[in-house]
Amino acid sequence: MTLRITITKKVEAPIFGEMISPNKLIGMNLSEAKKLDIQIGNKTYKMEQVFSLEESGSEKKLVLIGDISHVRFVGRGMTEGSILVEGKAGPYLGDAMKGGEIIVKGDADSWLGARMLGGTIEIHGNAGNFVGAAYRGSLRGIKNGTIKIHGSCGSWAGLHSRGGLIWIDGDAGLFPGMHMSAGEVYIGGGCGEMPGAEMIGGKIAVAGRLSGSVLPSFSYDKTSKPKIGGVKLDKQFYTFTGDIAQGGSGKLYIGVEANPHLKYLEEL
Amino acid sequence: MIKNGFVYDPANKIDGDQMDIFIEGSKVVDSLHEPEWILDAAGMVVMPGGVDIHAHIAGSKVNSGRAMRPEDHEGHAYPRTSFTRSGTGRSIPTTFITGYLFSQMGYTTVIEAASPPLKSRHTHEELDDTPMIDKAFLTLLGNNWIVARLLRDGSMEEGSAFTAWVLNAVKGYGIKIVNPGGLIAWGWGKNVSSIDDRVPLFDITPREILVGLMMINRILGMPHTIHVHTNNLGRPGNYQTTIETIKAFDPYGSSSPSIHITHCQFNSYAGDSWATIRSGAEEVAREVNSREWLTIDIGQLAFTATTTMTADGPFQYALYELTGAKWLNADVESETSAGIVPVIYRKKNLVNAVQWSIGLELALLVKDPWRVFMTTDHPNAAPLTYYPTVLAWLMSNEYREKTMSGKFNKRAKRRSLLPSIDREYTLQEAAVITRAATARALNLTSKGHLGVGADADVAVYDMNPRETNFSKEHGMVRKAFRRAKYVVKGGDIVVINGEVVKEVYGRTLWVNSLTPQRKELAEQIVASEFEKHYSIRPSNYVVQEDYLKKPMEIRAGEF
Repeated sequence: MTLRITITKKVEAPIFGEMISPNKLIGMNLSEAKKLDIQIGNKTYKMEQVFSLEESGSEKKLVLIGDISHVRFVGRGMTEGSILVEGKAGPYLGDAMKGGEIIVKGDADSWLGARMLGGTIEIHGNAGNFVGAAYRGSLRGIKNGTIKIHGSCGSWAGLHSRGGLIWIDGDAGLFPGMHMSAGEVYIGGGCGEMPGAEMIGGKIAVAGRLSGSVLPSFSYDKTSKPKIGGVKLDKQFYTFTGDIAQGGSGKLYIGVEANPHLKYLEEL
Repeated sequence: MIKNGFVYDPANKIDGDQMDIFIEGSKVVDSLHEPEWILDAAGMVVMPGGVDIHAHIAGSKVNSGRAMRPEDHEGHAYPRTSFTRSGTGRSIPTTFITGYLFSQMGYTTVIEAASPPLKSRHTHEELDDTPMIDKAFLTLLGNNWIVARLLRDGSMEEGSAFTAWVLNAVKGYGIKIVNPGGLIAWGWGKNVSSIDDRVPLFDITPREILVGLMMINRILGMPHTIHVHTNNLGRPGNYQTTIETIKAFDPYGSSSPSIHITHCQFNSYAGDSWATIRSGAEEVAREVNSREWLTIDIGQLAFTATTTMTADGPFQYALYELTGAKWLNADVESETSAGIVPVIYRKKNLVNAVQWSIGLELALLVKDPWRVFMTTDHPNAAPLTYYPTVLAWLMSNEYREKTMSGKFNKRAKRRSLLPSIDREYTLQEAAVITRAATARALNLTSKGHLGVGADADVAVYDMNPRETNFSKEHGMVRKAFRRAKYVVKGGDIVVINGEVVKEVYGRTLWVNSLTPQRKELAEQIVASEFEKHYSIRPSNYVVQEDYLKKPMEIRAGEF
């Protein structure tokens, strides 16, 4: 069953939409779904007061229509089925999801795929901070699954990553892959300072321009063409190991072509 | 009036008799002509309100733990209700929630286990903010520089006077000793490893600190014994340190309690490494059984994620090294250290499974329930919400066996003494270890019982002792103790069906042992010593009684 969910209420307070998940809504009687409680700020509403719900098709799929940038936790913990967001998605999309697929045609907000355990997320626009990150204070970032962002994302992508793949076609902000112990982060564009700070394992590849230099607690090895997400990259990258300050042995790759300021490494 | 319940009041030797409890104002009375209210407790268990002798619920380390663990709050939000305020937290709940959770379990008095004197104002502020319970805190003095110097010099009179001054200044209830001497050493990145090591700078031993403070405790006539977290806590082989600590008091033993060893599970490890760790509970329990003057609490571990926090800075550092988790270290000038590390206790982990077994072994091997108390050292070995689970383990061999199945570490199971122990606590014994004995150990004469004149702190649990096989129906035990049917606090009905229906604020108990002579002597010591060791003035150190919301002074020697 495909369920088309269109937002009808204009609100500024956050909407807690953790029940907007195939696991909870697919298979549920439509009239029952309409009567589900949904929290907006400190008030409780019924789903039908906030969204119009309409059944169409036979796929295990939710289609979200309209501006849902205030709706957080969509697809939280989902294990199967798919979610298509026609517009802009809110924070914590796919939080701790274990399986299934989420596609967003517009932008996604912060905490996209935070502590993800499986499944795939594809964002056609940009994403905010903390893509695939651990919850604040926790050490458990993305463990499995794939997050693909066709645009750019904010800072702390892959914070405390333990596995999985975060693929960003555009730019990333500060500290990508900070504290990561495993997994892969690919940034097709440039990124802010300190990629891989305190990482102990995993791989980070930055094809574009790195703002500033690599942390001094990374040791330079050579140039190479790394393999990320099962794909051998067709460019030369400066290859570093670190973060030595943490006894780490993670790999950090910085694109040669976009970073002439690192050319001095080749002469060492 | 609480009508027709099966009453378990061990202090008054009432063991499940069906009877009524009469309450007038905030006290239990022998009869009433016209009760203002009647709670029908037919088919239910009635006990005095629970008295927790050791939990970490307020103060700077607790608050730092809350701040450093936002992930502990996630998913544990408590919305406001018509009767309660909102809050968050699982292993370190915010103040209001802490009070509500205790109350929902039928606890009405809780002792915060460790407050540095210098941080006591903060501790009081949080205790004042914690509803539903009477409370008090124990004051950390086992590594206080001025106390250590006075004990080293053998100045017992001065030591007693200064201790009385500090307790009076901070409005503390008793003397807490954590890793005596070890925390002074931690100021230099060191520790002590036996009770006869010399403490850097002070040329004193942990033994001398322990015995000295026990003597001072007696001289002052404090209601509670010294409350000791031994040296070498949390290290394989430390049961020997625990036994040495106990034996250090043999020359001073008496018919009345002299020392309380706290969270004894953490101090009862045999073996010489983490790989060979095994239980030292049998040896420790043997020593406890042979000494009338010794009490312990178990500090029972549960398999869950929690937050460890203690003044034992070097232990916390060792734990950080072991786990690689977040770590907070603090130094309180001239008084103590502290540390915080989050942990996850897992069934499949050898060390954690052995730790779990040791706590229960201690409770089951110490013969006299009046000298072994149920605690989880909240939140160190488990959050307070696990108290009902611990009681169920103690009351049901079947539940213990069930816990030891499945993912439970096989090596730990082979090393456990539990399969050889059939004992199951009775409901009366459960009442002893959770309220009657703890109240007695704290000398809270109006608590822990339901005799005439007792505080009207009562818990009613929805389980019928005549129809329930606690050994088999451990799920019911957990459920009943987790959400009391009714709780009465100070004469007010505060919980119905496990939900808080009225918010009340209890008293803060503190002990005054400062006589005019001691005051005069202490002020001379303060005048000469304080400037040397502290960055604040003595006048700012003192917490005035009117700073407390509902203080209750207890005169030392008059309880």
